[in-house]
Amino acid sequence: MKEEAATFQSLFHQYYPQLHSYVSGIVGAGDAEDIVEDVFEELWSRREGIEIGDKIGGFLYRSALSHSLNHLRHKGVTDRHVQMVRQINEVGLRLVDGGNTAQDHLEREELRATLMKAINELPDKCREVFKLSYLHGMKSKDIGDVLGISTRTVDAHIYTALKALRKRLQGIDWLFLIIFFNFCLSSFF
Amino acid sequence: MLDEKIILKFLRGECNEQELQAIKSHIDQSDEAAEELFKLRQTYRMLEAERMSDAEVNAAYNRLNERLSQKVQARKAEIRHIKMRRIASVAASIVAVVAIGVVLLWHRGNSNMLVAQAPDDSVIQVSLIDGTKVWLHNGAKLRYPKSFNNSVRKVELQGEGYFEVAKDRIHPFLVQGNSIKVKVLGTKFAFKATGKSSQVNLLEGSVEVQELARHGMVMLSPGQTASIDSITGTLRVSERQHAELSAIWHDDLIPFSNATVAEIARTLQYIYHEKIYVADDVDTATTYTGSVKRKGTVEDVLEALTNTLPITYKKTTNHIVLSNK
Repeated sequence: MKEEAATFQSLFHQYYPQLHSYVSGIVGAGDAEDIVEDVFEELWSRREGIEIGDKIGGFLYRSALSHSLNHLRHKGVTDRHVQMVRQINEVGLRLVDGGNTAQDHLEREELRATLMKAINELPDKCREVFKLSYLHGMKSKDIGDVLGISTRTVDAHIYTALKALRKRLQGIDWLFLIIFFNFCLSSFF
Repeated sequence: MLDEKIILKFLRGECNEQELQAIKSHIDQSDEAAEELFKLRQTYRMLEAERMSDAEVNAAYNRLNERLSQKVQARKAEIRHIKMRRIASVAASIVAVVAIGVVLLWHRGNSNMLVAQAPDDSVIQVSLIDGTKVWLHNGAKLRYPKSFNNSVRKVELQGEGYFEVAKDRIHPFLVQGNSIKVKVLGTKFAFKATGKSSQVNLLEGSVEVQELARHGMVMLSPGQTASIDSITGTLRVSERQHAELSAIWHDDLIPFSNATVAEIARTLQYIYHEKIYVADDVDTATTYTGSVKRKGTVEDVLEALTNTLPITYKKTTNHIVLSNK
């Protein structure tokens, strides 16, 4: 029982932040907290039937999607809208969401350092915009006002930064796989 | 190729239907295109997750724990509730039979109704044919029959009233307010029924208070108060201190029964909002039974009491001290 609670707590700490972002990306920022708590409530109530292994991420993301869609339905969003959100995110679940990421392999501090390093390596203007957006949470329009550039240019910089960071982080994923593979080989022989 | 603005909106969950359609067309092109977009969203998610503070995560974890423990408690309460419901359903069917009877009687006796209403600033007394006395004040309105022909003596009250009901075991006396009714055999009680809430204070005897909407029902003992919230239908019983004073407006008499000097001091303190201390030399065994006229100031009342009790009083700037004569 105690062990069960400890596992639950560590899963919560690992997945709450990313699920919060995932759900915000589906229902918008305001209602994510409650929905993610619903997801973990479901995990807790079904803990006996679920194996906590590699697939737990898949379970949590699927549960988060279905809770989010329910929320949208209750909120009175049109059926067509909900269907579209569902279809899009089903593709996401199939290809990417809920799978392992660099986040799962690295310690929090390590990941943070990697991210900061990657951000600092961005081209000047792009870095400046991205820091304002990401580190200071500023809206694109406000960043544009501060730097004297159009909102459109701001968005373009943010997009470029995200793409660059994605490449870096995916590199970590690959690197991790290679290390893992080597480890398997060495322990095999 | 997708517009960057739409992609950013997609990451933030801000797309409208048209923009979602654009996203969908884009990912439907090929799995490669789709994977690229979802990986970008994954990166965005990672950045956002990194930005979330430990305090935020801990707070969410505590909220969840709170929720889970409430659920466990709710389950326990539900089990209790099911047991209670069985008892309540039997009680409700009895109440329903009584209620139908009351409605039939009410329609039969409707022709000879009278209405009494107190002016806003004074008290009136109404004597009913059975000997029951009712005091009304502050615009309270009483509807009552010229004669009680039915097995139930029924009246209706709006506002605040005080009742001294004549004893008649065969014909219960029924007072109905907005949201509750009170059934009595012979007793003294105050009944206040306003739009928002109703309150019954029992002074003597016993009464049965019934909330009309949900058929909640309680029996009161002297000194108890039943309060009903008309909107939620919640029925609550409380032991109120100085409940006996809830109707002194009707005769301006402060009732005491076997009251020690300390108890008298507490009562007067409650009515006049003045601090009253009792000195050590006052005999604790001395008691007083009877009513004292409520007067303009507390000193006037104490002056009257010094005639029958072996006490004297002294007033200072902040309080009054009662001591042995």
